[in-house]
Amino acid sequence: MIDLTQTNAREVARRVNAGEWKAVEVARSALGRIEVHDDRLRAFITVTAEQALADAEAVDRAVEAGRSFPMAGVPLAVKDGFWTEGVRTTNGSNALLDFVPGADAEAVARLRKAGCLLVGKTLMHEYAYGFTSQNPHFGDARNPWDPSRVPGGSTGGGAVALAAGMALAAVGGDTGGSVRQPSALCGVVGLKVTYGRVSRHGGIPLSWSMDTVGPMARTAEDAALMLSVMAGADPKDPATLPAPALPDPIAADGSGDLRGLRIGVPTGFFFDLAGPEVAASVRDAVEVVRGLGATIVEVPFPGPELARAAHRAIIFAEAAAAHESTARTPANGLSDEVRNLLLAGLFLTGKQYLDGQRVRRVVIDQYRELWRSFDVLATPTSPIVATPIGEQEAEAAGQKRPLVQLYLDHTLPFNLTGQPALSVPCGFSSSGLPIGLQLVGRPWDEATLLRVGAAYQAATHWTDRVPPGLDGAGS
Amino acid sequence: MRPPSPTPSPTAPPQEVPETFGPDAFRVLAREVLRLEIADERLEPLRSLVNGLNAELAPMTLVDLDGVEPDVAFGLDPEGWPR
Repeated sequence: MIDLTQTNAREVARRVNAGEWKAVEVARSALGRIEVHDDRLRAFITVTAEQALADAEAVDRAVEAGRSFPMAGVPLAVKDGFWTEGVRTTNGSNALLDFVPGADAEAVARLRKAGCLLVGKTLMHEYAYGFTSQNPHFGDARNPWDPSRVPGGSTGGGAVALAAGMALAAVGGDTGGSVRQPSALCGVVGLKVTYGRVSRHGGIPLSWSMDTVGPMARTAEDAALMLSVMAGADPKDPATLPAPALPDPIAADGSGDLRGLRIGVPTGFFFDLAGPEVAASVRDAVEVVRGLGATIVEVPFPGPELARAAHRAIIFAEAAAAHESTARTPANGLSDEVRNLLLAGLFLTGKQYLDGQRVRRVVIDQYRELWRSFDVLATPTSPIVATPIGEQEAEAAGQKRPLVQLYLDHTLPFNLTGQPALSVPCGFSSSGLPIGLQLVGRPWDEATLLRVGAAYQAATHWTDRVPPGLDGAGS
Repeated sequence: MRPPSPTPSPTAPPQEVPETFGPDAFRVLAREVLRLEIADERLEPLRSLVNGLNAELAPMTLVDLDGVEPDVAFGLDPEGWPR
């Protein structure tokens, strides 16, 4: 068995293409870890063992015939809100228990065509409308670093699968932080792409004007590899049509030189609310980036209140419109919590929704001006580490605050503005819980974020750590 | 993605959530206008949620939006419609 906590997607693809490893061997290793650990960690709603082995055999046959694939033999976990051909897609809810799509979501189709092996559909917060991945239908996903704590969400299962070595690539969705926040809490890498960079086709919507589909991986280089496969124009999603091309390669190998790059470090709420260990880790990360040649610029950055207000107006109205009939249908398997969230949007007025979209323009204009003085903003992805399952509040800056604000206020502004943002591991608390560094860029500038992330990662090795009890091929 | 809990813990700072909808008005809106078929016991949690949501939207009223158009993804096909 191959220990998938000790390798990465790029290495797997290289070895499978070179004939050193068989894709079937990689698939069996991933499935073995799922079998051993998933009862405890609940990363998956559906495990697709037969599909993974069939995909792997096809890759092995093609490689033997002389073909190669950018992601040959890489085990892939897909959030259960994205269509998978012939595999049920529940969106984390009993309301969609019998939904079996006839096609893959475009991003999933591209990854599978590139050689990925679908090992399963990951557990998520129901309808992606939450941030803990506590799920009343399929159980609570658990943080591999401390299973009594949440992994974050809504793409919690994907982050768990990566941290536990059950997969080396995961597809997530990010409308308010649902790729970045679980990545930070589980110690993996997550990229929220620019709105329009990756096709949303086959993703069950939450908010049409803010939903994004993004790669999650164990390293920044793997996230770059996934992005190179997933990105690009798709006639089935008009938002992708104006996207400029990504550089090729997206992040050059071994380039740790960040000279000429200006990193903005915000004053105000991003650090004011952060716990001391989180703030210290992120500030240490900024110093590492300075040591790699970047210039550090202190930036007065506005608080989250306005962005949060507009984000709420938009997401509640759009989610209600997208799922009104489901929310109105009684006893259809939807939880009361998510039904209420969906119905709440029906009480907003058209003016409130449009004012949200108008404020969005105001916030974008604000941020566009701010970005003149720096290239990449560096913040904590989350001001707190993973909280115990079941909690609704946590203490920050001396006050109990609702988790919905603590977990999302650092990430949702960039869904509102459409900007790309990357979360990379940047340390651990004294209790052994991961801390994430968020890097935010100008629209379409994922490449710079991935370059900084890869350089930082090479200088620090936080991504080499494995959760307790999960190291070793057989564990 | 939900607004703050309508029942904050005793250690939370006092937070007055202004009521956009009182119980009677909310019942009429939910039942008579929106035609929601939900049980009585579920109306109150929904009302708290909606009032909390409206409270969170309040900062938008402090912004001068005069002349600001909504940022919506709308554009006509630059190559025209197919004939």
